[in-house]
Amino acid sequence: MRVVLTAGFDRALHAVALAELARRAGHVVAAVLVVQPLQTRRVRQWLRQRGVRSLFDAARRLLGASGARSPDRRMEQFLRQHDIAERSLTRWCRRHGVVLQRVRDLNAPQAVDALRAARADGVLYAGGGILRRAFIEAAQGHVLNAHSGPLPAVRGMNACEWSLLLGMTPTVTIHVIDDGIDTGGALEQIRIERTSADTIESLRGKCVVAGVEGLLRALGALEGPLPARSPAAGRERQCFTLAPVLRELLEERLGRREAS
Amino acid sequence: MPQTQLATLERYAVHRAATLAWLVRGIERGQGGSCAHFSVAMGWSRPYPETTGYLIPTLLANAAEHPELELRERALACGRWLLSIQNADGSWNGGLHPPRPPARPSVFNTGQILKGMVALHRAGAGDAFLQAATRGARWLAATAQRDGLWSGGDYRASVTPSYYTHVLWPMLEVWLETGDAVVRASAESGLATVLRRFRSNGALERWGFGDQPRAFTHTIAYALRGVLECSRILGAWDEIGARTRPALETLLRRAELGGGRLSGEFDDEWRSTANFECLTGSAQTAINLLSWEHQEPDLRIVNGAAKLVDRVCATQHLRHPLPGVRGAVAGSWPIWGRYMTLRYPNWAAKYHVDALSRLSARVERETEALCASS
Repeated sequence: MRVVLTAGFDRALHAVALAELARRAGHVVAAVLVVQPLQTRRVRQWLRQRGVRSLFDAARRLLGASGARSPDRRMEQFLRQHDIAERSLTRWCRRHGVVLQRVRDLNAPQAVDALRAARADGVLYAGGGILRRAFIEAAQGHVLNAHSGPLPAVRGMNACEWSLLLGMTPTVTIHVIDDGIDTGGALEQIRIERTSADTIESLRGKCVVAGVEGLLRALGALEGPLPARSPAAGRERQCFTLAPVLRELLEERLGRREAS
Repeated sequence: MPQTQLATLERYAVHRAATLAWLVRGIERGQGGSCAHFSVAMGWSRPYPETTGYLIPTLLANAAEHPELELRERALACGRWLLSIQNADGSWNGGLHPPRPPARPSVFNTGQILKGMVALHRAGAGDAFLQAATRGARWLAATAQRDGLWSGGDYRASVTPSYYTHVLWPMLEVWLETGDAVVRASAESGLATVLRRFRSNGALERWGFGDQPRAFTHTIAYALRGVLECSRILGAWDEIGARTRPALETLLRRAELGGGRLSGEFDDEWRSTANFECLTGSAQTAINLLSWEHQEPDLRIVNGAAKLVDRVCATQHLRHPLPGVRGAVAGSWPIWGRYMTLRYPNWAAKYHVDALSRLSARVERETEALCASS
């Protein structure tokens, strides 16, 4: 399978894992599209949606640091388990002779042209912002994503957290990206096992790892017709980032579960 | 049972106490009522009967938790002041007090004062308050047109604005206490007229101060709140309250997309027409979202309300050297925005306190359930 990979920043560990494991499985990574993270528009949008404090966490991740509470910690373990030493998409691309295109926006003509030029069977989406019609059409609708929540019930941001808050089992859904928010047809649903020691961050980490594994399994599906949007898709209210008070409530819930 | 207190709830309590203390300062300078607003240039304004009226339920609701602020005594004093300035026909005049001649009775102000009168009656403050409320509600019913609204508008609009649902609601509150069928019939007639003004996108025709389709979120929230409260009193969520759902869904989404920054003004196509936030409207919208969520529980709605409340909190100065600014809520943010420019209105503070109270109570319900289950 010939695929294009997207990423929201150079040191996105899950994107590195996807690229390397897809390559090892015999697929061809034709191009990697990395969105430049340090853009005024992106920073402003980030600040609005997640607040100032989250910028520090984001900066740490951009620089490749993964703290004890970071979901990246589990991805680090995953990379080590698979003997993947690389932590940067730029270096991975250089090593394997893959075109790496830095773009301001995945929907910009530059990104869409790079996607067309790659003549790929499909796209593995590993971040980079909401995809618009031009990009999806250039990929002929063959764009796969790992969503950290059970679709169609939990769509939008912080899906792992919302699954827990809304009393659902944490689940990763491998699905097709269409022009709605998490409304494309689902290929697989992966239930995430919870333990009493789990925190929000550790569960997020488990979701990311399950998402990488699920996307790799789903690559073969790009050969045939992809599942259509379910009639229930998009009916549920979209989720957004958790307000601090609800994040604390969720932490309290998880803490209580551990204590009980 | 293990107790829990979330850090953000503690922060909300600090903001609520500071805002209540500011409201108390406004009452102390209000010559009987509550000053309409404070501005750094002009100081405290004259008292405003309208907002003094609807401030009373807020004072009473917080009295037990803040005995040091003597909120019940202040609510009673404000109530007595309002009794003293009620017109012989049962109405109250418009504008600040004393009114500039010629004094004119005001439909909207009378409606808002009814809330205070009813709240004092329910708090056991005496029959005089219910009698005053009854006279006020009967005046409103008697002066309403056949469509249940009032001719000639009351502020800047040439026709009765849709935010007069905020008058119909207190009329129904009076009916709850008195059983006065004429008052209820009049309020229901007005409500039916406003409900016909809902557009398919959830916007309401004539929801602003003027005749233009654009409106501050303050009056949008007034209009929606009135519908929500009428629906609560009449026990008719499906027929009445649910009509607000499209508008609230849109406001929720806008609040989320802005991380709590809600544009201060929208037109009837939901296009933002402002480059400022109307903090009063944001706090009121948070209350409306929580009212909706009470009917259709969903923490995703609470999340949007929390972001609006957090945003208003973020604009407050809790340690400002000027007592008129410390704990106040600006009309607009930035403060030079078009709504209550450079002023800190008492109704912004009132709605912020109410929003903080409602949100805290809602989250506490979740934590109590958590404690009970563990």
